[in-house]
Amino acid sequence: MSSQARGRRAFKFILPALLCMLFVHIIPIFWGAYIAFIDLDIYTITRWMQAPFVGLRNFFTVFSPATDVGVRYLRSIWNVVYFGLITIPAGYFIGLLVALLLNRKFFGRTLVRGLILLPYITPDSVAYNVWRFIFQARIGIVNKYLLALGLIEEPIIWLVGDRAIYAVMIASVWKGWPFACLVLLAGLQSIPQELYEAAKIDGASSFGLFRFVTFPMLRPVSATLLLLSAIWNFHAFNQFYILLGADPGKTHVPSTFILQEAFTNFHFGQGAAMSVFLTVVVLLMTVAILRVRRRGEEW
Amino acid sequence: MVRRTFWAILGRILFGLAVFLVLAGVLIPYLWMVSGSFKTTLEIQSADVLKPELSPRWFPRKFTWENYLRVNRTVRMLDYFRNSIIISVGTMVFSVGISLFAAYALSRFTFSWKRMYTLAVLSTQMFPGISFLIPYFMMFVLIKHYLGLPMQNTYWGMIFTYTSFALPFSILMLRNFLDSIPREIDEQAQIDGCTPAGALLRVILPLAKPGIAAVGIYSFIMAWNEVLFATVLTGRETKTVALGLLEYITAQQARWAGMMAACILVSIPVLVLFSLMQRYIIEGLVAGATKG
Amino acid sequence: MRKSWVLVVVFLWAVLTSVTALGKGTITFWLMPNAPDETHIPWLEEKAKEFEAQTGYKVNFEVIGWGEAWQKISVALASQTGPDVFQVGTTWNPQFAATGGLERLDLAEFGGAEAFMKANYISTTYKGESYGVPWFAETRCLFYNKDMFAKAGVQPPATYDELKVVGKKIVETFGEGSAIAIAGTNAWDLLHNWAIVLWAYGGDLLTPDNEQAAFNGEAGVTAMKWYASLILDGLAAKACAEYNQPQADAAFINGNVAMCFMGPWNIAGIEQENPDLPYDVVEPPAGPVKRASFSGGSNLVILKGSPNKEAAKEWIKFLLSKENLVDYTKNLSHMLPAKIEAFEDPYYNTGVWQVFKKTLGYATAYPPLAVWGDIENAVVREFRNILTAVASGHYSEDTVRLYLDKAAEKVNEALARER
Repeated sequence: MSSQARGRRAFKFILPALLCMLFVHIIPIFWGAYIAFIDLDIYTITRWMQAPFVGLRNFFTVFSPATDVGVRYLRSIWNVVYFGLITIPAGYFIGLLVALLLNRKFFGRTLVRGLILLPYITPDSVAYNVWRFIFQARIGIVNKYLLALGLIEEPIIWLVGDRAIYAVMIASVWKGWPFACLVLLAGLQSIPQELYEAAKIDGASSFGLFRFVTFPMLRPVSATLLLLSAIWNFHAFNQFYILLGADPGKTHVPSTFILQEAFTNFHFGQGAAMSVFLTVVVLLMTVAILRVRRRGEEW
Repeated sequence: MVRRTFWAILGRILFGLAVFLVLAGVLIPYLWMVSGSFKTTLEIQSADVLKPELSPRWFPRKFTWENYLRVNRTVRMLDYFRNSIIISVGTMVFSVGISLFAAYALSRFTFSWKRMYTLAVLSTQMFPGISFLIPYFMMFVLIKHYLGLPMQNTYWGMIFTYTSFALPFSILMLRNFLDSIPREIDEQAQIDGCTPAGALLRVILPLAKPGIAAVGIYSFIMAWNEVLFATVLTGRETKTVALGLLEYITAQQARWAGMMAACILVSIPVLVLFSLMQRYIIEGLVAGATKG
Repeated sequence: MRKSWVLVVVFLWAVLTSVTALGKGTITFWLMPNAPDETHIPWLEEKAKEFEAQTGYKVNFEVIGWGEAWQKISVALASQTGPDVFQVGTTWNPQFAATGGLERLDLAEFGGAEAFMKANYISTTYKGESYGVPWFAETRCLFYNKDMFAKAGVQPPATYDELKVVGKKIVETFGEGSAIAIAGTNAWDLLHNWAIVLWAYGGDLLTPDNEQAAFNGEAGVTAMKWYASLILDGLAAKACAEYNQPQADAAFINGNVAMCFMGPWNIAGIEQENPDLPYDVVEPPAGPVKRASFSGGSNLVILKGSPNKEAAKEWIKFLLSKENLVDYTKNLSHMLPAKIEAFEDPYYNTGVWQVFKKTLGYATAYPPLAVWGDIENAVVREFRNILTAVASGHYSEDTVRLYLDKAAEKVNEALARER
């Protein structure tokens, strides 16, 4: 079979999947890039085919610390970065500790492993609504126990204002660490037992085993896991939208902010410009992850 | 000797304690959810952490089934269940069908743009939904405008959207699964006179059942859980359970008890399906995060 | 083989499009939960039947929460699909009109502009044309607890200065924070609460030509300081700074606080939650310049892309008929009708309704601008910063002016986009 014929045959098999990708991902991404350059707002939305081209104006607006939108967008980017800087390492370390804990045989291990997966598989809408209930100021259990322990004097309002992001972090780490644990556990189990034996013969302590065997062997898995988490961190939407509502005020992340600017305040052009920036960031990170993977293969 | 057993026992106790702590951390929100679902709305609303006699409790003061029996009263939860089931099952069917063919091509054929396509599939998984929501929404409007075909607030519109979302992961996962089925099997079938498509459907399909089930369940769960696109693209006739849950809390009223009961009902299909195919989905997820 | 595929596609398309074409003669009506579902839905069902019998048009109604209504409507406007006729808040009407997605209406068909409360009529306009029909009106008055007032030995205040004197007496009797409940940072309608004080002190939100922000003038600063002083002087609880409107309402309804600015819809809440509450309602206090109140409410509008505009207009007329309007406002929503003839009903001359009716007579609407949403957001955001400063103890003499100037800057930025 010629290579052309092979290509055609494969094309037939892949065509439906290609069409889906074309309509849902590729066209919208390029189209979004176009919208970012036109003046699409409350006045032009019903006649948006004729909206005027404005060059880079939307980008200047959303990145300018002098405009209202700019200030809030930059803040939302900072929020999501800060959110990731705390939740990713936290999720990773909890996951690693529990993975180490579960990487030995004990009675009921399968059950425990099944149970710790619960947060991961529970639908976001359920999990974050339950956390929203838990964080309620007057009727929630967080304040109940903080008061009982004497750590606070009066109920804290968690889900509004400066503390909101920490409440979201706690809920997200709770939801996210089992995935890290799962991946790391798989990584741990792929470490050949002989390496440990050899290290023990060399007289390594249990810390030494971790430092010189476990940790280096987990490095490739950890690198991809952390990079993937960093990318997916920009997807953060559900936890903010559900816990804090459609308008989280100062605690916006790009996803919630763009949704609000586009579909509530009718700033579609600016919304698209903000989306384009996100897309570029994610694209660069994806390239980075592919690099890391290729290097991983060489090891 | 005595000292060693002492340390061994202490180690065991500490170990048990650690496992217990982990489990407690995981399970507390669920316990709170279950307990809330059996409370009366009045009990939750009048709770006050500042007043010891009104402080929220783990055990309902007055146990009630009301929240489950009247789950459809204030929020049309049963309608949302129907919508979610239609959309999720549709997504499952289409995503399995489409990804099976694509995965087979990736697994069995060699062609020049294979690597490029794989990379493209991989990277579509990385884009945040918000980066194409606005133009995607406009595309729906355009289709309605020029072709007269409504997409927004329709089942097929949602099924198409979610199928496409589920595809990248489904394709890669199924490809890995098909790679594990020996090539000789379908080569034999082709020698016996099957076309590649025939070989796939008659010979490979039965062997790939676990992989297909895992992909199907993954797609179902994805469609069941999605929030962002549902907020913009669904309406009264197609609203899904994930959004329905938010309706329990409005500016005027907070019906936490009803919401907790609904939360439990919404989780059940996902938990059941997941536990059915746990092993394969987990393997797929882990591979997705660690391999290409 | 290829032909059959084409056939299948054409067939599918035909089926799918015919499904939507079936909708002729049926109109979709979106409205907000103006009354509890238990009474609201049956009323709507009954009226839809009655309307169908009269006109032959079928009405599908859909009740949409206030929280999601804005987004749903903006999607409907952009896509020109969804409802044929829907309810919008008065402050929303000009903004939606500016999108070009609403049908321009001739109010003469609905009884003429003079048939409606003036502020409500203005809210339907954008650049001098009408894009909606007023449905019902609301305004906020001062609710007070008669028992608490009697025990403190005070009378309902007639001016904002008096309110503070009265409040201090109540605090002496009942403790800090017991005088008044006010909305704080979480109230989406925060601006309404301050606007009435601003107007009463002679200020205004914008200059008369709607070109510049005007609320950061002397009157604005004084009015804002007055609002902040309610918390600083202990008349309102510190927690108020973080309240939303329902929380403030609840504090009054529970009988813990002596005064609160609330609307007619709260009366249903009182009857439901604390029917024994000894309350009464008076007009909002006067400022040094005048007495002012905020005019809110809802209008009915028609989607420009609706294929059933005639039916939609008939439905609006039907809902606005004196009988239906009085029934709906009096028995269901506990709002006030926006049509003047409905006030002939003797009900509006009794008890608290008299007060609301009178207050509505001088109620003011916000300027009908396309960028109003951005303006309101900008002011409310800085308002929140002021309240946060109050709650956290960072408040100083300059706080108010600082934030109001900042808000004015943002508002001017938004006004520059108005065209």
